[in-house]
Amino acid sequence: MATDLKSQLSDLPGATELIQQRDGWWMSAPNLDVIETARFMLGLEGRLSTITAAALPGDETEVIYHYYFDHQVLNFKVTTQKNTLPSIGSILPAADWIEREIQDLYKVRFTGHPHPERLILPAQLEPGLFREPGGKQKR
Amino acid sequence: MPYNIPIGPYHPALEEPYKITVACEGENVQDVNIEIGFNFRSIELLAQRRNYIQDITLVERVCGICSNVHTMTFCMAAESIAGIELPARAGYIRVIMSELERLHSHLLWSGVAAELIGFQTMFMEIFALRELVMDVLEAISGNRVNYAMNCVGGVNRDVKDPDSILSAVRKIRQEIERIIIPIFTTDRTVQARTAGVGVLTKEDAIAYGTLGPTARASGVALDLRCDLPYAAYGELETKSAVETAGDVRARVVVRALEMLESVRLIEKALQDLPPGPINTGNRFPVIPVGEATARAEAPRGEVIYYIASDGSDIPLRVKIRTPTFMNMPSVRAMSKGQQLADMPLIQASIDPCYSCTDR
Repeated sequence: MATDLKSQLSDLPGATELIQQRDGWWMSAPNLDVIETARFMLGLEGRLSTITAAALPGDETEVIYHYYFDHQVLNFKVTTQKNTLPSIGSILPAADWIEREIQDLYKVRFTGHPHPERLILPAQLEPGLFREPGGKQKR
Repeated sequence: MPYNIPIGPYHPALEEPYKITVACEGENVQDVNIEIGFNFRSIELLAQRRNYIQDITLVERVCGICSNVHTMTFCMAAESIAGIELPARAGYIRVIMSELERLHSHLLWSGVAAELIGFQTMFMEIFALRELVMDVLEAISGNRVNYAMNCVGGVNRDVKDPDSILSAVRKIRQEIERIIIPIFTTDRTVQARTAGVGVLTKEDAIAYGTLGPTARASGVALDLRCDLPYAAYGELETKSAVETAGDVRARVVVRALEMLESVRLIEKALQDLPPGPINTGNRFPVIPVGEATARAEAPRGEVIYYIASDGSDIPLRVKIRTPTFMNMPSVRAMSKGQQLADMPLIQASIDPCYSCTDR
């Protein structure tokens, strides 16, 4: 990654150190300003690939924003506050459905979402269906 | 007076459930609202209750068309966490299977598109040609839909007779050159029905995060086989097809050219197939604590898998991002100002897959 891009990413509000892994660059920044990050990536013609949610112990959720720019993968890992994050749907239409799906499956509230209706979860199921832990607890 | 037309969730042409509400002013489309979730199966949650071996079988059922790319990308994510290097021959076999899958998927879409255009003879020719591809897939894997080819660390089956496969693929290439390319690139009926219809600008393609042939037809040169090569794509040097018009015709042309490129890649992979093992020999590899994403270029665009592991044999988290999930919202941008009668073709032009989208 170019040094100036790395430095610009490090200057985003709430940013921490970028670490290179086998599958791309990762930043674990619980308080990263996701709106400013989305605006910055859009300015670069970067693409939002997807957003991954994973339930944390308690009621919070770890949310990973996966971007793609110039043959590089950038992953920003943030944590919800009271299971809430600001929506980036009005900046990047790509986030519209992704945020609504996370709202359905992990009960994360995205404030400022242009139309936060249910997307994928059938009406008879309660939101937060995917908060159940996987891994060794499932053995 | 403006009015709404609800279409779906059950469609006579596309045998998958989704609903699209078209807001019209006369014959002119003002806006569309798309609803999904009619085929929601909780596959990600189910994958967090099964071990890695069972998960390969499970994720193969995400999609009935591009089943191979799902198992491959799942295995790539697990291999990334475990630091497993793919044997060279396995990389080539993964390319052969992926490109055969792209061929049959693009042919399936071409047949559906021909029918929507009203070109019935073309539809029949294409589906007859697709059978030849299905025969090759069956000859290699023993299966026509769920090939069960991938395992963590390689593939399950070898390509035992590359020469006979090569000869079958050459016949497919001749048929593509004889039927598909001339009609989809120069035929006046196809041009009249598709040129200038359902335009997606490059700016909208980026903002909506569109992928695969839909993005490449809008001038977004995005193809993971070139940009972030995996398996043996780095050695085979993929040439990506990019058009700039952004209309349905551009999407037709991109897919037609991609079929030729797929055949070239299969031929080259079969000719250059290196000797050696097809997997690491360890059928039950331990996936240590860690997390990784893996990306692969499916027929409809990039597929992403994210796996988090706590070191047990059951993944802590499996996230699946399919290409139609990103491409379908862009139909809203393609539809505004279009004729109502063009809506079936515009929707179909992204080659939607709702089984994948709903997971």
